[in-house]
Amino acid sequence: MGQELQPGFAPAVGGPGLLAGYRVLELSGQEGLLAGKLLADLGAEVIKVEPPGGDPARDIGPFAPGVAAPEASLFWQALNAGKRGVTLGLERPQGRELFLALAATADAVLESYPPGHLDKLGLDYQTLCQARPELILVSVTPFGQEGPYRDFAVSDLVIWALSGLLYICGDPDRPPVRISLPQSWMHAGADAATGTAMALFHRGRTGQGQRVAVSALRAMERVAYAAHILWDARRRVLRRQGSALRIPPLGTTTPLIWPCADGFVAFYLFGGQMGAVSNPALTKWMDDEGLASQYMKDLDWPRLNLGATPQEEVDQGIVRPVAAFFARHTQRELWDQGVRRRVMVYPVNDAAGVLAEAQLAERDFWVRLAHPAFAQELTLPGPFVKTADKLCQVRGPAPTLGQHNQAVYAALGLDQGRLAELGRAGVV
Amino acid sequence: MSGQSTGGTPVLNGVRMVEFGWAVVGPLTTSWAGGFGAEVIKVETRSRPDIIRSMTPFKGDKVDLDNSLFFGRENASKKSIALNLKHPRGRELALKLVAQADVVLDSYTAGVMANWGLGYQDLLKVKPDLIMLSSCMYGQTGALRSMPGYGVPLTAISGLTHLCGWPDRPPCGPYGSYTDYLVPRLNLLAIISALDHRRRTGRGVYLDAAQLEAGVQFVAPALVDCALTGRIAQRLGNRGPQAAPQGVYACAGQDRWVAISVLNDDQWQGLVAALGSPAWAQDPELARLEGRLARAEELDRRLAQWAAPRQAPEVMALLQAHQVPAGVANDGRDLEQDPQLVFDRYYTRQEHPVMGQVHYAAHSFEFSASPQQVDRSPCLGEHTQEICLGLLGLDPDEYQRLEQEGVFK
Repeated sequence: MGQELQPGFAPAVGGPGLLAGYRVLELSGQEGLLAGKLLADLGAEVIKVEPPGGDPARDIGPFAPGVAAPEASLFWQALNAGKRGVTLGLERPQGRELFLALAATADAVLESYPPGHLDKLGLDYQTLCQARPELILVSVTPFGQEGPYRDFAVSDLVIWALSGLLYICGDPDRPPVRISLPQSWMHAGADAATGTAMALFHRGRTGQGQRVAVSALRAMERVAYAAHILWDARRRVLRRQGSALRIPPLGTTTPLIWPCADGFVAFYLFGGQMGAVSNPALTKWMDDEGLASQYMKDLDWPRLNLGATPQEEVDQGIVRPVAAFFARHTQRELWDQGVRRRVMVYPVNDAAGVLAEAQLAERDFWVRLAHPAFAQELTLPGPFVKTADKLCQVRGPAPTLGQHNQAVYAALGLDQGRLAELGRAGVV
Repeated sequence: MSGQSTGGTPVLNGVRMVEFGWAVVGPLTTSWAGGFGAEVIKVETRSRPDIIRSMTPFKGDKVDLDNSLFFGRENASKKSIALNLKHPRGRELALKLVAQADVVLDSYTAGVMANWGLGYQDLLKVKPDLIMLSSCMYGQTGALRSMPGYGVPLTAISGLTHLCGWPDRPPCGPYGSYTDYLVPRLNLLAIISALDHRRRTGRGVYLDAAQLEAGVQFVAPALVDCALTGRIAQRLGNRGPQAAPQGVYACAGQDRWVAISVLNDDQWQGLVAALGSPAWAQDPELARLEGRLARAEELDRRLAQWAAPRQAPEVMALLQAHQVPAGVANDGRDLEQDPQLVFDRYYTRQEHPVMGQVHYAAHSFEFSASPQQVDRSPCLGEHTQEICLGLLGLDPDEYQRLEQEGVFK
């Protein structure tokens, strides 16, 4: 206790951080990118180890126009910020040897190969621990390391399906539908970062390293919370309801997403105490414009029980007048006034809407980074948590292919000549 | 997953967390920590119960603060102490609790804790190296700091709702309060990192966790793209620029579906073989991703036709045998019997004094040398007496006096 950092660890990168001093090697494709990015934000030195031809995630769009491969992927830029990058062909004996030398300097290795693949490379956990006793090995895979689905081929959509989340998303008259930006590896990646931090904490207290196995299926099942508990409680199957909520006992349904003059807003009526936060203020606001129904003005909102009120009564008395009111106003008008009047009517933002949120600007959230392959600066989301002294922050742009080969390998004692030799052999 | 540890020391053994949480984000963050060995104490009262204690579904449809499966699922592995924080003695006991804790979490709107005299500065006086995480919608600063909200509209403002649905329709958004199941992951990461930082430096830290700033991390590629090029990512149904065919196809039975993705040319050949090499699939144009993307609609029709008379599990098994990504769209009933989740012993059935036998879910990861143990959720105030007489060192007379004064109401 009390010392700044334990000796023998990597130097802090880009200022102080909660995890400063740790070195993490990231061997993953897209599955573990967010994990490494979050650990880098927290101050760990994260070294992305790519095959000499570049990580497959560099081929995932969107791509920046006018920027050449392998740096054009904005998916890559978003999820690798603040990491260092080296190339290394693990399939070659010299590559494997070099990786073990690198592992000897690391605290944790993060990987997302199919289960068993590291063993085939001769980089099983025991071998890694010979290079670095008490090393932490974190694996992010669709289904953990064992079980009947172990060798299944997957996609983001397939994980959505098996997790139960897909089944409850979408309009009832169309197939179930996912979010169009892959999410499974975001949830699993965040959990992998937590698993890494927990294992580091545990090792710090006990001296014991260990393996951590993350399951994307389990991470996504968590999001499908309602499907499983409804079955467990009432033996009923939850079905997709589109952008609306059906409330028992009558099954009265009211919208979650409403059209406004220039887009959509999210608003839910709620009954009872939850509704009493927004609904009286909304009624007053509508009344100021002569649009509140008599039904709304007369209602004792805390006593409203939506599920026990007939659909036609709710539609006539509340939903139609509210819809007409929202349709008259723009998203920004509704959001700005809603904040002033404490009515929880939120914008359904697209990317431009998120970038324009005044609160994020006020909190100095966005990070602008110069990158050698880009003429313009890149704008990235800032840290996921704020502290004094910026112990969590975005540390820099994503590495170009092999950007830190010299620096990282020189520190292992490789001279220029040897490095050039390995380059000719296709190892780095 | 097998290979998980049953023995060994839990990673958060000896860590004590006090939760002033409600709804999902705060309670789920600490519940996961509890599963990994932290002692979690939830502070709530009957006069101001956690709102999801009154949310459906209830066991046997019986409405009762101790009978919500929703509350139960998000509050496993913790204790509950009933403290009325508006009562001066209630606040005093809360401070005594914090003095013996490592971590405090609150998930109220900014300012609520300070109004109770339990803000970070108040708590520092009793616990100088405290780690505290405050998780509200918009953070502790800025014009929106006290704006109320919840998961559904936060999903919308974070840019996620816009991306879920069909290109020819308004967005439908993912089910329910999506960000409520995203934010706790990042909250827990911040807390654990802070614990390790304190272990190494002796210093505590205050963590200002804005749920909006966590939520937008999950759409980061679209934000980087929009800021650079002005392009705005749109919802694509189930299609994607990297896969074709890709979709969710109706199978035999009522509302049964299978998801299929073909991510590369090898998988396409696998699909063709699984379909029995029909003549239409021999077209060389379809052997390449660009060709398949251009004809995505036609491929969707073909797959829909092929899948319609078949059972979803049969389609999954056949395609997986050819290394083609395919998965049944599991419904709530299927989850309980899903072979992988069963193999993982992911759900554990436990006896709850009010709900009876109910399922609890584990977190998504396991350690090889440290166990995860999920314990049933607490009834409201179930551990009040135990904590007061034990940790807080009250004698039984004093405890009774306080109870009569309404400190635990």
